[in-house]
Amino acid sequence: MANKFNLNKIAGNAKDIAKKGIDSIDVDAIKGKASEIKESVEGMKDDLEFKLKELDIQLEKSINAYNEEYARMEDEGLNLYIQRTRAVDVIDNVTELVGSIANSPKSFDSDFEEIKKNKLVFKGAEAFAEKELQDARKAAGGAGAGIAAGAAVMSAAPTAAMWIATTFGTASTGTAISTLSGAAATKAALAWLGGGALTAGGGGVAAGNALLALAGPVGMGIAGASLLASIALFSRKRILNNKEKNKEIESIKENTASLKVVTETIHTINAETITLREELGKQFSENMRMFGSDYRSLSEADKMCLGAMVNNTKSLSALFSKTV
Amino acid sequence: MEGNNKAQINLREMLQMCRSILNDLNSNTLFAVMREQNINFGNALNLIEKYLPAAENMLDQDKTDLGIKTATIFLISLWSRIKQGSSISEFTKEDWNTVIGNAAEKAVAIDPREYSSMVFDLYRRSISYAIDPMRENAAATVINRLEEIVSLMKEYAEKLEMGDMPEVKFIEENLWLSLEALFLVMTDRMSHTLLPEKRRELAEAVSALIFQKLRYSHYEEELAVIDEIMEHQAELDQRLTKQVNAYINTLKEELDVFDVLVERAFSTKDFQDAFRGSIDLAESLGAEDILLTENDVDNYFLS
Repeated sequence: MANKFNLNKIAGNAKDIAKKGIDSIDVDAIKGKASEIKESVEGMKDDLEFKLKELDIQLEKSINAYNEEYARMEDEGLNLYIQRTRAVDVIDNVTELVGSIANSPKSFDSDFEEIKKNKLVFKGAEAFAEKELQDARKAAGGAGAGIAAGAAVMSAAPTAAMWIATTFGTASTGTAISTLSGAAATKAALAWLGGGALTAGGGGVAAGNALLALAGPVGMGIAGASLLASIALFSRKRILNNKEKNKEIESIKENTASLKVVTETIHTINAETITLREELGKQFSENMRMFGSDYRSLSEADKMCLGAMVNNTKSLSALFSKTV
Repeated sequence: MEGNNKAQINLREMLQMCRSILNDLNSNTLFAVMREQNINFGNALNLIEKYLPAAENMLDQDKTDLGIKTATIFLISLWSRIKQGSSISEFTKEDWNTVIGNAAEKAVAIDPREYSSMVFDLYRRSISYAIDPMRENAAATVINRLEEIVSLMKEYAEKLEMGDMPEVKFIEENLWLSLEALFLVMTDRMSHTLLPEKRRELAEAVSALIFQKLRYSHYEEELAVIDEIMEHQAELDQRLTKQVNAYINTLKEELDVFDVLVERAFSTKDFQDAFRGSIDLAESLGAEDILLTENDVDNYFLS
């Protein structure tokens, strides 16, 4: 980061200058400072360009990360769906076994819904670049209007600027226009403004060239002011665009983090479902020996085993209602 | 279709606005000159209106852009005529109508990139024309820099044309170069008018300093914003990573507890403990109608 430059400090203390006179100002020092700032600006421009590219890279990376995470979540969601379908088979088997022993038919809740999340669409670097281009074109439009207006004011209404020429202008002879009068003053003023040849009836290539040279300080002032406005607009829009980009990246990252949470949660439910399904499958296999038995004739231990199996089946069933 | 209607309304509103502005205009401007010469503004606007269908197709272009473009191209068309030797005072109604009509047509039809190129070509030509009258009195450094600016602007225009420079960069560079050139030319003109010779160098130096300071302030602000954004993103990354990791750890802990409960609920060593384990597991998962006692089990199977 370049050092801060204080224009007031650079220009020197006004009182000192007044005491010593303007001639005491070190012009070379000012030139040196200007070129020093210029170098800093070039460095800042490079730095800014690099960081703007970095921001675009971050935007693209974050969108890719979101898409990858979404794909991972979809895979986990599909996997959970498959595991839950398999678990339903085990629950059905247990239902049949319990039904063969119990006096009345029994059932377990085995409804579940597929976990779905809508994929969000984010504004990519390309969309931001397009917006930046539109904003830049607006700035160019303003600059265009400035150069046109600058010349137009001078070509069509030179009298509007005459007071400036007559107040500050100097005729080609070196005489201040303010000291001239009548036609000589008008002629000198129009010549100073640059549009003289045109309104004085000259026209032709000379007038065109004079117009294209922006016809004088007034025209230049208008063009300069519009250039300044265009630069301010360009800069402001780019800042806003980058702030918007920042918010978009923030939103993508937060959504990616939310997706990660969802994916990990599904992954955990999946792991629990697999464990419970496998264990219940084993328990069912062990209890199959009691298929069609009279409950009253069963031992205390078998009855407790059946009770545990019913509770475990309810547990697996309860896992179906676990959502994210 | 809705968009089309909207664009149509906007453009018609714009024309309406132009009409009211023109009615109010009474200053010493180009329009006033036209008014003095009995130019029928109504007819001129009707002519612009003729090009509305084409304008309506350009839905991405708002009315301000189109208005600015039309005005700019109108004035440029006017220059061209003047450059060819015409004088505004000799313009006929037909001349005005042609200039206005062409401007409206071109503003709608011109490619935006071509427009950007045209604008800065005008600046480049203006700067170029401004150099010659300055040669005698201006400092060599000023002339050299102006020539350098003209050359750079030409180079950028060629690069843009060849597709070697993005348009945004082209506009940004040209805005600054044009402004710098105007600073230099204006300083030269003003200092010749207002200052004795020995002070001109000082004026040029101060002008250069102000210009560079202006650029510095602009880039400083942009850089500060981008630095803040980068810092914010780094903080966000850290915060989100921390949050997600904390959540994953919680899930891991929950899974550990689950595994212990499962191990007990499916234990084959002690049927009574396994039964109690199955209750704990079912409760932890929020199951309903859990069999809590031996009686519950009996009732379940015998009812």
